[in-house]
Amino acid sequence: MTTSSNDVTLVPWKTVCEFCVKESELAPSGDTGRLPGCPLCGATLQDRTLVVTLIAAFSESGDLRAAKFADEKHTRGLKFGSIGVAFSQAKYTSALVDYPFRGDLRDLFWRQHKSAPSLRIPLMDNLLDALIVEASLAPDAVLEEARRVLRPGGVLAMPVCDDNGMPDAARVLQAHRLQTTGFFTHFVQPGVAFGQAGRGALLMAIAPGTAS
Amino acid sequence: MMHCTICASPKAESTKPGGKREDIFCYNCSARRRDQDQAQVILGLISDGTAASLNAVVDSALRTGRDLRILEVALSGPFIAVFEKLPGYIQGYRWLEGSNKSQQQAVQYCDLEKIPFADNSFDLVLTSEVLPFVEQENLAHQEIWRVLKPGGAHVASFPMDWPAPAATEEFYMQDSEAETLSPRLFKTPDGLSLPLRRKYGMDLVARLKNDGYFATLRRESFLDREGRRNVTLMAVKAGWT
Repeated sequence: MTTSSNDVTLVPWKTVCEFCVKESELAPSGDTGRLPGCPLCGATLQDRTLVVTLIAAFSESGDLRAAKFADEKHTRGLKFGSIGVAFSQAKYTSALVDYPFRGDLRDLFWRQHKSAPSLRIPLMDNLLDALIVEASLAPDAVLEEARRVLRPGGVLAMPVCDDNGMPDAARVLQAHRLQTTGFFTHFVQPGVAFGQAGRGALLMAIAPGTAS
Repeated sequence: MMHCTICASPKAESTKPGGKREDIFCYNCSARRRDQDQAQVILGLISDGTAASLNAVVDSALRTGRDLRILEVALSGPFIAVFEKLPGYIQGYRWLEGSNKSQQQAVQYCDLEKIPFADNSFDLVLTSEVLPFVEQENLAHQEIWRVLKPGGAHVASFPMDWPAPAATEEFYMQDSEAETLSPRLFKTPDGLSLPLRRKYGMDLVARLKNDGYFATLRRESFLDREGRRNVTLMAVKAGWT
């Protein structure tokens, strides 16, 4: 299948999904350049970006396949947590997360945040190697708690847009808020090569620690 | 429609059979896939997440007077034309005896094992296909650390198999019996031949983390099976214990 957009020919290309490890053909649509996830298992582009980025940051085997990394993570005792429903309940990614805060607990976060500024994640300090937070659930109190529960050099990963994209200003503001609390921030943007900087983007923040 | 992450030109993927790292390129600026992957990582570091190309970031920096200090160790490549517009950009190269310097007089001498710049000088150090050829690689990482500002980053590209090997394979070592191994020689832009000294494995990341870097290997072409050998190293001078 080949589609055309203006004078550029869009050629489908083959890809291997990190979750189902099956090969499929991908092609952005000619009209919008919309980037699909895996057409076979349904993992979204954001799922794939998130997992590839986390695996690249932590893996010692270099194998991008989610199931392989889950084994390695277990063997090495790496601890990943997540706040939010979409990621931690997705069948594609749940194997990577040890400490999901879901459902009622998410509601609790909201209630606590609205009523009291002293939100607390029920985990000890410096416990997690990575924490995934839905961007929509990331008021300042959550970011402060993320800093507390992440070990120095740990990774806070925040998918910063859904399929409809996200206003740029909000994304920039989130990065700025993290920087002011000492995080080093970096954007991972698989969509940028398709002229859609926000599509499937991830805000990756590295937790500060003691300066060496 | 895909865009080049360096010049923002629309581009089409190469349909050349077997086209991989070198054959997929931008028709406008000739950036190869690995260059564009590297640019994507640089974008994530120096832009606020909204820019679609390095050109856009540089134009913005020129408008706002942002002081970006960049050291690129290269004699050629698509980044030069983009970054040389910035006053804080320095192009360096380690000239060897016999090098053809005739057309590159403006390039400063820069040996990665002894970088001739002051501590904490740069926001970004760029090397493309350089690290596998460096003789004393540990020295290079220490020197890059020295000249990076706190929070600055070294962004490097090199090929890596997928799944990646666990250990780096050193197959050409000077002053040792291993020198008897036949080195793979590669042509440099200045007309010399250099031996490839290593093929990286994931232990590179662990070594850099021990040195205080936050290091990760990024595979921007993960959506493309053929692009998975493209690896970009992002090593941030974090200084965390």
